[in-house]
Amino acid sequence: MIKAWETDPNFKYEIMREPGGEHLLSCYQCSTCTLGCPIVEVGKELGFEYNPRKVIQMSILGLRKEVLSRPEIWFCASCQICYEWCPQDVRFSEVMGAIHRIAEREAEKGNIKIESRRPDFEHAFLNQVRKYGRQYEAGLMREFYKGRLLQMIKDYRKMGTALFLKGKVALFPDKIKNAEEVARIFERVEEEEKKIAEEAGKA
Amino acid sequence: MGMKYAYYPGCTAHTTSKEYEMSVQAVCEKLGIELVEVEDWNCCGALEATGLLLYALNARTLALSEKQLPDLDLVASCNACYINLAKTSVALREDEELRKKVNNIIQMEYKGTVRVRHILEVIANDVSEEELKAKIEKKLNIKVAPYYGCFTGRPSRAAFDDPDEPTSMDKVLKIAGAEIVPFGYKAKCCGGGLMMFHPEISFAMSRKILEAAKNAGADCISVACPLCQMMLDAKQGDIEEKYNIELKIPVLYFTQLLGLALGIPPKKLGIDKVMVPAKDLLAKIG
Repeated sequence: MIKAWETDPNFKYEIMREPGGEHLLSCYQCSTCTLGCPIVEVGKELGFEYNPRKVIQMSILGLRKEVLSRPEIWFCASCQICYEWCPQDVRFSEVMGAIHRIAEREAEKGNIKIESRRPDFEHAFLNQVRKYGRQYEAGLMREFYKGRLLQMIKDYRKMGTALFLKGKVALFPDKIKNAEEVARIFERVEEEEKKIAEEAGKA
Repeated sequence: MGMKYAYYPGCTAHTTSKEYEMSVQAVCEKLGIELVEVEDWNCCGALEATGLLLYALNARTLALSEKQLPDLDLVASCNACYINLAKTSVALREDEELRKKVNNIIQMEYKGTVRVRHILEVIANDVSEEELKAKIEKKLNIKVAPYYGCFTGRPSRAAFDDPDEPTSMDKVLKIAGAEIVPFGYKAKCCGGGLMMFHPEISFAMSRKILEAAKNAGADCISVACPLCQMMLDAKQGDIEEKYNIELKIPVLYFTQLLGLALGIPPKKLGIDKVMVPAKDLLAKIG
């Protein structure tokens, strides 16, 4: 049971300050997003509870730690059904992105533990883009599977070989001419996001 | 003909989705569509970049396109690349403050003029029906389940087709002589975005699409996105194994199917590069 004084009334504003979270308070809890969400359906089959409406409700009620630590928040497939069907233009898929970014910052500070490998994958993916300006699948796999090489071989030996034989694997990165421009973009976005996080902290 | 466009191939064009790129180029050549690749384009961020980073990464590509190829629409072939560029172009066109902020981040002056298109929509709308019909050399005569994925229609603020009942691929493939089977999963998510870290969810989602297509009597599934294609094709064997079911349904890019109808040789369309063998399908087409 959660006590009212343990909630964080600032959490909703923290989400709304993030790019993508602006429309959170437009939600009137109609459940349309949840009725359309494919992950809700899969959850019923696989035995987990994923409920977009409840994520919004919990966020507005200030259940910050509960929302950020829920393993299910990492299951969003970005299919945009919620964005499309919402009568209030809440854009839940974008709100989800905002919540993810807040959660990743909290995890970096050591305040919560993320039980999904999704943030690791996102970092590995974006690191390649940061370095080369374009995706480099071999680099991505090496980074994502760092320390788990055997697992990578187990997961991708068959498909990797088949792809390689069909000429669909690049051994070397396709680095763009002005890759530093992309690296600089990452740096400036990080600065902006730091400013946003600091603003949220002050409120 | 006057069909000239700026082109954004995307990061998998020469790797995982090589056959899509091959077939897009072959089909466009046959239809007189000129694609000029934007020089030094960068990754769209796929499903990993969100918020400001998503806008900034794509604004750089849009700014390059605007500068190098002014007044040309920018065409993408991958659903994710398309929606990321389209969402960015819409957001930066509508919100001047945001555009200024993003321009400051990318250190470029993007004016907000680029219109982003999907190759499926270009073929469905910019090539006249009569012209397309005239160029068909061999009717497909197979049953196809057209799979659109999420971003051809959603979010409708930026995307081109109907969010629940898309029809552009149906139209193009019908002209190519295919019979489109009634298919309730045409725009339901394949779960591709979760594949690398929550595969059990992706498998559950893609399985439904594959079974629906098979139950509808489809000879093959047609797609317009490398990630969808990977889920339904490359991962089909794993899905069969996990659920102990037999599917064996080929998954081809719509440009490969259209290419066959236009008389382009299968090798040039990369038909041999898909994972679930399409030999029987080719024999059926004749």
